[in-house]
Amino acid sequence: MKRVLLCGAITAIIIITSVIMLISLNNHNNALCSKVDECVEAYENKKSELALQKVEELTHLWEDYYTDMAFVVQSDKIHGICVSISKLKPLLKEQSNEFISECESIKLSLELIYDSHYPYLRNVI
Amino acid sequence: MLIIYFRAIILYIVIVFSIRLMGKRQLGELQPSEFVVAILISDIATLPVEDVNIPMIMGIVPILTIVCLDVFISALSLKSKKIRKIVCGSPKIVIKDGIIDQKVLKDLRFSIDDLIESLRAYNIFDVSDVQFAVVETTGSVSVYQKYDKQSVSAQMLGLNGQSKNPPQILIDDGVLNKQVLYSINLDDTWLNNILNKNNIAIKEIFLFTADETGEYNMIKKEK
Repeated sequence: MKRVLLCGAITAIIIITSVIMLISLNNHNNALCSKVDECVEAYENKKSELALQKVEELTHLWEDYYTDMAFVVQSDKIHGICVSISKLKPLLKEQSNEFISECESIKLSLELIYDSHYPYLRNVI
Repeated sequence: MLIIYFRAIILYIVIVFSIRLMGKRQLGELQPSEFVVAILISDIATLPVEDVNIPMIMGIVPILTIVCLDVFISALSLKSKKIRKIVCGSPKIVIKDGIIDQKVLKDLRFSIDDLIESLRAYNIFDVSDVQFAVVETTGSVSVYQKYDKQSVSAQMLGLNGQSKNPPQILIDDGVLNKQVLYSINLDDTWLNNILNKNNIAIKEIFLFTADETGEYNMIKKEK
């Protein structure tokens, strides 16, 4: 009976941790996506100073995300976003149109990461 | 490199814990469900060690989940005979009164060579010597020989005698286990008397066994 109880506790911990992880992933994603939107908005309004500041904030936010989510997300998926974020500053300085496409790529990658962790039937099967 | 090193250590601890969680049954002959668990665990455990990109937790969670499921199913099997039959199967009689049940043998996909080999393990070389043989759920064969072929027992000879417990290990490589000493109703005085009589210290003894009647066997350490 002790074993069954212990296994029940372990199962409960696994389920609770998984749900917390999913919620945390969603919160981090939302924060990052809204920051990316702010960057794009500042860029489109030709406010370079503000856009640069937003990119800085995005980078800091990303560092937090990386630290928290590296435990659960496969590192090759995170590395793709790392590359995109590192490109943002130079692209902003060059006023390149690729800035927006990189921002969109970051958002899409974040959505894909969340989608791949959500227990949709397609993911489970 | 260090990541793999630490991951291997953590996974080793998790797997040892998992196997202990499944209980001693897992260490003996495996039931079908336990065999599946053993295969899955060994496969899953290698993934995070081989690929550093996969987070450690992705290896630990499935191992613990599988082990927990196995414990739950074992607990359910104890309560329900139906579940036990589904998960573990049921023993099948393959020989009755010295006659092989060929249909059962075919259903089990057991060849005649497998059966004869199992009988030979019991020192039986003729199927007609077998009264009853059962293929257990673990795949092993249990055999009950015909009366006239069975080894002679004290009961058959009408000999009366008392059953007694086997000797216990009291001193193992110079270390005394007092718990065992007291469990066989002996005490320190009895042990000290024997040690004094033989003029030997505990640390000089390699193996010391004794039973409840006080009969003992002592092997000294080689110098």
